Amino acid sequence: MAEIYSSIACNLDTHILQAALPLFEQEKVEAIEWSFDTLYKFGEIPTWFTDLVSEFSSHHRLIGHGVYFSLFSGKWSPGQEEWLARLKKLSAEFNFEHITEHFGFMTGEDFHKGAPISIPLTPATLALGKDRLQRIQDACQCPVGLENLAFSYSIEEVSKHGTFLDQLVEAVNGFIILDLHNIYCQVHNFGIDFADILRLYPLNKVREIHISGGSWDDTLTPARKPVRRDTHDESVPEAVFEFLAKAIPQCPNLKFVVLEQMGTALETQASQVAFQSDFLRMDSIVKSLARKSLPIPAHLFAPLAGPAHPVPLEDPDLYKQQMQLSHILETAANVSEAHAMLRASDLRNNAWEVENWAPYMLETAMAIAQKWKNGFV
Amino acid sequence: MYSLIHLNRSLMRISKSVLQAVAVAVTVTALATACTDSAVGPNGEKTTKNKTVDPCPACGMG
Repeated sequence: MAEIYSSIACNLDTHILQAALPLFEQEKVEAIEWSFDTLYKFGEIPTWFTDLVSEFSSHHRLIGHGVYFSLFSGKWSPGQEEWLARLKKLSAEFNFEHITEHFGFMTGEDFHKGAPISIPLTPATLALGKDRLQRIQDACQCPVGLENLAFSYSIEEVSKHGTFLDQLVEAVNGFIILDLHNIYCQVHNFGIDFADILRLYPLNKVREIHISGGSWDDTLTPARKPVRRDTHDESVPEAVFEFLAKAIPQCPNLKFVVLEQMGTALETQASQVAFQSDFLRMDSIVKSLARKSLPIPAHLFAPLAGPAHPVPLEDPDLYKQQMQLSHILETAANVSEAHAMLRASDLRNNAWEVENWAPYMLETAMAIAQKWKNGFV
Repeated sequence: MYSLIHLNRSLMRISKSVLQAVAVAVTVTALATACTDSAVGPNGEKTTKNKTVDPCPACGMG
């Protein structure tokens, strides 16, 4: 019988820990997901926090989730080199059951600024992503996975995302995080049925599922509905719980289901109680369905032997385009201006397919990039 | 029957001393004051040299 651990995204954040503490005390939290690269502002980590992480580590209930690596940046950066060195050090200190990162490249002028935005799905970017995943696996020496991205420029991109993720993780015998709120965003923003999107993913490679809440943006879709964004600042929508119940039976190798919420959205007692309620609801769904799973082979996603190539792969043209796109998204005053800037940029008439980008999603990309261009302040 | 077996296998028990330390850190000292140069943690150890501990960005950048 396979066990599926009900987990929370647990980081060094007052309000997250305040919300999680009663669940810890009740022994409800079976694993934690730690975003190990979000401590860059700290000289040292408080002992009580490393003790908490160590407890989960020693019970093989710790998973790591990177935020800042910028997997598809066309240029290899010192920040990425430092990120890997830090991961290698932490992997010697803690037992990570696996390490994951986000799809896309980070907009923003330095390593800890910006937000993940998608890239063209081409053989060149596939090679770049595989190179980066191999470096992550070299550093952590444990299973490596990637999360599906909430944001898409077009419905065509949504339709290709699952297959591209599948091809990427092949390089490291890796797995996929299926973020159900990210899919909820796509269901809503592009008017696609959940079952139809789910069929596009290699569900046998799903080892982790995320659920979270988000927000509605004033930007309107063609159906005159507001755009859904993955902001992790609200409770989990009812539809996402329903997605979870539908997805679990289709993911035979699922091991972790993680509830995520930003600490900034957990400042009040009411929001913390709502978080706890969401967790218990998630746990009840997991427990009611876990017994139908078969045992997971122990080495299903085991790291592949052999180091990555000594020289990191780079794509200068892609990097130049990414810099141009970041600048456009962060500085354009409106969608019309952004369109004009894109038509005058190196992104026109090529694999970026900017000509096919949904205007409301371009506006959303601008909102995301402008929100995070100064980092988390 | 199944549920009891399953829950027992999944249980993750955190030691009381660790839980108490976390509780003290988040409720008494509060992380906002636990991260100045001269701050001390719940067990008297120096915590961090930074001015603020939270909030943490993690995911949610969508």
